[in-house]
Amino acid sequence: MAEQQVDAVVIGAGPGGYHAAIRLGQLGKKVVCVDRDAVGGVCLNWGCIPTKALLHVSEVARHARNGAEIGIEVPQVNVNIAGVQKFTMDVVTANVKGVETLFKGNNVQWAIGEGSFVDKNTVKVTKKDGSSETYKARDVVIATGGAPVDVKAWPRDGKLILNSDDAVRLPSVPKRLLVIGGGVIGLEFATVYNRMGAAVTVVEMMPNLLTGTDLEISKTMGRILKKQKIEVLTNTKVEKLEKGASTVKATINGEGTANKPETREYDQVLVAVGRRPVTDNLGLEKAGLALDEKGFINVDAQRRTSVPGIWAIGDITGGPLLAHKAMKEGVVAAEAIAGLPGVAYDPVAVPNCVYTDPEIATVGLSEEEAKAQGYELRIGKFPLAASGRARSMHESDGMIKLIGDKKTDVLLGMHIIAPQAESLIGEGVIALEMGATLEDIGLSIHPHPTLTESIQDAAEAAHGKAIHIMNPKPAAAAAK
Amino acid sequence: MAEVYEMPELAESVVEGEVLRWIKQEGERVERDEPFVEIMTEKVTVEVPAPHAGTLIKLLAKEGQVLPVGAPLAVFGEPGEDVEALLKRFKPSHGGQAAAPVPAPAEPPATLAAPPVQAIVVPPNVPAALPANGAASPQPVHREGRPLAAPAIRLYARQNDVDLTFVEGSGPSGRIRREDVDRFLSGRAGVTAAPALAPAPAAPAAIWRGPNDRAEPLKGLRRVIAQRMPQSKHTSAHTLNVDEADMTALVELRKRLKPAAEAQGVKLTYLAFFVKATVAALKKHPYVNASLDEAAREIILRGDYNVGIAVDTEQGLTVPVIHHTDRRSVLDIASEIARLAEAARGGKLTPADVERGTFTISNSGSIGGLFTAPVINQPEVAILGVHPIKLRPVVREGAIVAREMTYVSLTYDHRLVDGALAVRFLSDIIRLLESPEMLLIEG
Repeated sequence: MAEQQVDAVVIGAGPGGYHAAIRLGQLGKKVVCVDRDAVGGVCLNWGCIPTKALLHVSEVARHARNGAEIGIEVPQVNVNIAGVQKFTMDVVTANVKGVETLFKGNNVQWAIGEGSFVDKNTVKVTKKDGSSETYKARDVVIATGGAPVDVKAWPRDGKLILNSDDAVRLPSVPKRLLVIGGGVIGLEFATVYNRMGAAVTVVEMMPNLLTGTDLEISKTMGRILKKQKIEVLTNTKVEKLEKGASTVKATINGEGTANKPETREYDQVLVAVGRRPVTDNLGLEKAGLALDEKGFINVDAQRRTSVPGIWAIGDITGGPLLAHKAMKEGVVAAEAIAGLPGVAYDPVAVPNCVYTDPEIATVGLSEEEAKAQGYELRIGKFPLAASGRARSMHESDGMIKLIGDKKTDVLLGMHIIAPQAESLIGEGVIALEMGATLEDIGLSIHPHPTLTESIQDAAEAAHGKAIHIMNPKPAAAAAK
Repeated sequence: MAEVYEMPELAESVVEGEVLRWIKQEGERVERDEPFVEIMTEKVTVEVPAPHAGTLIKLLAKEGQVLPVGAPLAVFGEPGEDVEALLKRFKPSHGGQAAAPVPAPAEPPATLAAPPVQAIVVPPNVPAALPANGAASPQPVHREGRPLAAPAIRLYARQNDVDLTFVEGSGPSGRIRREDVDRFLSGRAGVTAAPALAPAPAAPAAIWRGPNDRAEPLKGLRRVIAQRMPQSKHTSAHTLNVDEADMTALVELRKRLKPAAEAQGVKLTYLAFFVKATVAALKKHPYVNASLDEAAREIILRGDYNVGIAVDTEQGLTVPVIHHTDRRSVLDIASEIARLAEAARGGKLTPADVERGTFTISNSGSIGGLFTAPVINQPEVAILGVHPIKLRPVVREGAIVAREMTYVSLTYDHRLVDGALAVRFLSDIIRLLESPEMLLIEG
């Protein structure tokens, strides 16, 4: 059994892990990155990247189908799922290759196999063929990420009952798809398969979609989805799933079925009820590391665990389970290991994007959160229907909502439903991190004609002086 | 039973201390009165003895960190005791002084430097010459919630151990800018009474760094000097007067007296004569032995003649004080200079050694140079520069002759000392140096 001394071992090559490994390499550390699977983890292989390829494909399909509305007639739109899958895999492969190249360029060693602790400074990598190698290191970064939560009563079979990993690689488009869970993942797949031609039902136990999102944004999205013929049943539960030969019978009960159990037939069911941290088989006990009651590893601002020399980043540390959060943590941990002064994970807010159609992107406090924290609010809203640019894109569903502190005018949150919201939200991130006020945003010249100028309008609306909409009360203008 | 050890008040009117070095590390056992930490204050560096025997179970400050008097510094007790619970209950015992909040053990309290707002700026080595009544130290600003600061400023603050919740932001909506952190670091954060009248200085240009450069932390005595020198320049109206003195008589006198001094174990230096001559001149010109309290609109005329001597040490310049020079002989002064210089270089000065100076002499005579313009040691109003003695050609009775010559310089605060007084004062010193026998009468 080969044993090798290195400076650091990173377990997991997902977005958090590869950021940590590359940064450690940049800082001159001898680092090995271990993953049982490919480089890139869920993000590159199963999550962010392939789903966004699917979303793009399905968006093209929708544009083609609706082309006649803007003078482009496409006689027939066929979805060739094999072609779609090839495109998706090409995108994934190119990204994985890119990270592998960065590993090489930054002297990051790459080990495929199951990483587990022998002791706190020793990691054993067991390969598929049963052979193993051992790495000794002063520092070990745990970046093993998360996996979809399975519901015991409805075990995933990959054919009729799916989880998100299956839905990314689906060989055909189901006619009728039931999505259990109205969170980010549920709504993104609902959008993909709806645009590719499936009839989609989303069942959400909670009163609103996207729990935790600004209520107005979540309700607006609910209406938009309904307009797109996605059936959304909130305050509703799936009570039973009965698998048949090629279909599943689902018993649904709640507000969506007028509180009477209703049995419906679907071709496939996607279970998207959440994700959980993955720390199985890691041998954490051998490193002397314990999980908290929710299964997460507790860390400090530099992502140090309770065991000196062991660091943890990404989904396993809790907080928003998002790739960009893990990436930041990876860089922070790597720099802390290298002894750079002052590094810390201390975002004002972590942005969040939901790839519905149109997209939702949010950063900072929702109206409800801000109120709960005791702020008096100054809110500025701008409906996308008033945007010339949105209209020219033949998109007018959506809104921009800015939440400010009435006392200081400082921005507390930005919430967007719009095409390209994913990119628009960058302005909100910078504004929050820099402590910008609504006035700052309103006074900054935004380019015309764009969607971003609607952010400026929303900021001006907060002070009762938006140009492109009627301001609610002229008296409010006196406030500033 | 664990107990919190607070930053001690190591000398009168000292409000904060810098942790220079942990002599004992976390987890180490200390005996009673065994030094466990080295603290530098405005006045002195002290190895602080343990209050009783026990284990140092938690250090609450990093080396180089400045804490106000009364802030939790370390926890003594037995291993395994619950430090966090203790810190949660911790109430500063020290009345009146600003105390740090209970720190999260992972991140000890940041710099809370908020020096007393006093009319007279306190130099590293000189106490506020006035009683500290009415000069209470201000409570540090501490805001609830998130400090408004850009990510780069937050990083900068962490790199400098600054807790931004204690920093007052000068930007719009109270946004904290880099210069706010800098001002806080230089200990001037507490002086925020009239921001409208005193606009924030422009941000200093970033200092370029080349690949061959090396950065060292600014700490200890160097940090204090870096902070105090511009403060002094900013406070006083520095004005310079330079003259020359014929030291031939004094050189001869010293040569004659040296063996007698050595017999008593004292090295008779020129500096001792300079001190003696200065005291005589100070007695004659009380406004040079004085301080200016602008806030109280008062001139403080000193009743004592305590002359500080600038001493070069490895860590930087420090100024021990010879007290009551008017009551001391030249020999006594020389012996006191030797003791203080050695204590300064060994880091063994006591608070009493550096307190209550009324005038300072800066001696670069043994090093070289023609003459210097020394910076006034606040809250004094003048400082004498003493330089090498060399044979130089001068004109005596129409002929060029070689004499033992030196330059003497006086930097004086023109707010209180006018040019004519400065010239008279310096002339008196020169007269005594040139006719050292006069020291018997006037000294």
